[in-house]
Amino acid sequence: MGVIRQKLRTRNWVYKVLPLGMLVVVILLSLSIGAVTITLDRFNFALHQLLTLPQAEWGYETVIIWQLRFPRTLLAAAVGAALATAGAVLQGLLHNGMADSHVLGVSSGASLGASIAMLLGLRIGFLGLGAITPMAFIGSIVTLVIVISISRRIAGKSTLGLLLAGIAMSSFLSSLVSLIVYFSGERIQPLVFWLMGGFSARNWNHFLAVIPYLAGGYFITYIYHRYLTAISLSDATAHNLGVNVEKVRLILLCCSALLTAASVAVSGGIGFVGLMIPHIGKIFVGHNYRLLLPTSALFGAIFLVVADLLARTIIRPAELPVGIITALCGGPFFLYLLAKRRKEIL
Amino acid sequence: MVSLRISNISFSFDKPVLCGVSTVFNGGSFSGILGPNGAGKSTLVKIISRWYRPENGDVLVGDKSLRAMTQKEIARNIAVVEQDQSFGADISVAEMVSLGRLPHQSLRGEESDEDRLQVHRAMERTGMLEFAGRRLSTLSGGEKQRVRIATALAQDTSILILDEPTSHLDIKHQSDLLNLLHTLAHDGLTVVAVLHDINLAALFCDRLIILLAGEILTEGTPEEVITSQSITAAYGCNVEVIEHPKEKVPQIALLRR
Repeated sequence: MGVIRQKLRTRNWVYKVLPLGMLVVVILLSLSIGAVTITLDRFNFALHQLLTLPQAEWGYETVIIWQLRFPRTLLAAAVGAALATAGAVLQGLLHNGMADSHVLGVSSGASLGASIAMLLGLRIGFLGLGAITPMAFIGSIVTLVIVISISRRIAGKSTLGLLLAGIAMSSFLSSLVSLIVYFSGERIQPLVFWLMGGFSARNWNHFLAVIPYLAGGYFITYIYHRYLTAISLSDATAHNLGVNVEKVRLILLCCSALLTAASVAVSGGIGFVGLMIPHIGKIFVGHNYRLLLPTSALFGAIFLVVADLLARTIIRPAELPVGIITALCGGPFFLYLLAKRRKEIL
Repeated sequence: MVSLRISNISFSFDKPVLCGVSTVFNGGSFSGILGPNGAGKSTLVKIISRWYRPENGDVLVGDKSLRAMTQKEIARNIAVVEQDQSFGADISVAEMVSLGRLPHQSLRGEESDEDRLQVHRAMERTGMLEFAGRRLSTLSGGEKQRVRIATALAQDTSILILDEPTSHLDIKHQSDLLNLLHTLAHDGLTVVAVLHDINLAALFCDRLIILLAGEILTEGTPEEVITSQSITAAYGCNVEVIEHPKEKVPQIALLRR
């Protein structure tokens, strides 16, 4: 395994070209496959229509590709990239390979914030999603601060303390979300639909509403990649290299909370992407965040586009929530990490 | 050459750790800090690096107080190699040493030719050039220590502080490192190292300080500091002070009780 890792890392093209190529391929697959399968020549024809004809004259395949599958696929790619980036950031900042928005309860905090926004009907604002993302952001950042404070106070920097605090917080917040669902009366249907997670019936409005948050969160995170690498080595190392550790940590925690919140606001709770993908990225490019952030984002995008594709094709024409697919992969991966790190946890 | 002035530093956790410590580390000298476990040596290093804020007193680089400097400015003036820093991430040696240039780079700035030159020189001086592409996880304890020192050298500061830099090294690498620090000091760097090996400290350092229970017990040249009385007072063990047969510096020989 070590030799393979070394070879992968020394071949630059592997992590620069291959993931980009893979992303293009899975996006094209996602555009063509679904309840209606669009063959290659029909796909080309639809693309031609898309580029040359006014919308009123499009055939049904062009409408399916542009209005249903394109925004959905791009949204899955953007959310996958965001969740993987958030996971990579949390693992570096907390010096803990088990950290992830879902495991730490940050996603549940975002769900609670978003549920309150939906319950109160706070849909005014940018493209109708205006209040949901900020409320999800507040929920996620508050949760993150509480989980980190509790675990550090009780168990220092131990992995077990962080995981237990995250799991406890996640259960508590999920029960609050269930309470909201219970009391939401006639508003229950959209809330439950959203809580199931996934990209079903997401359109360009959803994509355009969250992309500024996701792009902004990623951009700011990437600016700090060198500081993040230094902090991931150790706080003292970063401090001695002139990094204002507390300030940078706060900025990057806010960015990871924002990435999680915007993802949850638009696609509900999708777990384990942020846990798994950074580990796979590290196999390819090591722990330097200059490469790890874009690699994790690309792998996250590929993973979630594929997961969404599976979710809507396994039992077509019906759909599975995409969170089931990610959990089916992520659960065993989580256990594998636990087994691998048992010495440092116990 | 820039001096490092410690002025009346006091610091405590639950009980006092440092009590009114004052001294000057002159530019172009190699100073050693000695003392038993718990004397406050590592705390003093952490105060110089601004990891801890002293309750009283000040640390001055030349004439400028650390209080008036940002962390980045401090890192442009003082490089610190702390004791047993573990690496939480697995990056390559070259990537690690490049981080030494962080204090000289803006947030979005790219690596300059000067950065690359300093990184290359730092790896060359510590014998790490051949390890440039190796991952930290594949290095021995001694090699990791040399990477830490190369990173500190890449910072290109006027002051270098090291907390027990020889602790993971075999005798050959201890000798190489202390010779390097000696050379750096004589090239104009202010080098301060916390050392446990009194004989190595006497052999390589221009000036020594013995800390005991948060206070300076004695300071001066090795000849002034290494006496059987001071060593017995600091460490509570009996020693005979003898002269190094070639270098003519004091060395201690431990006596049985």
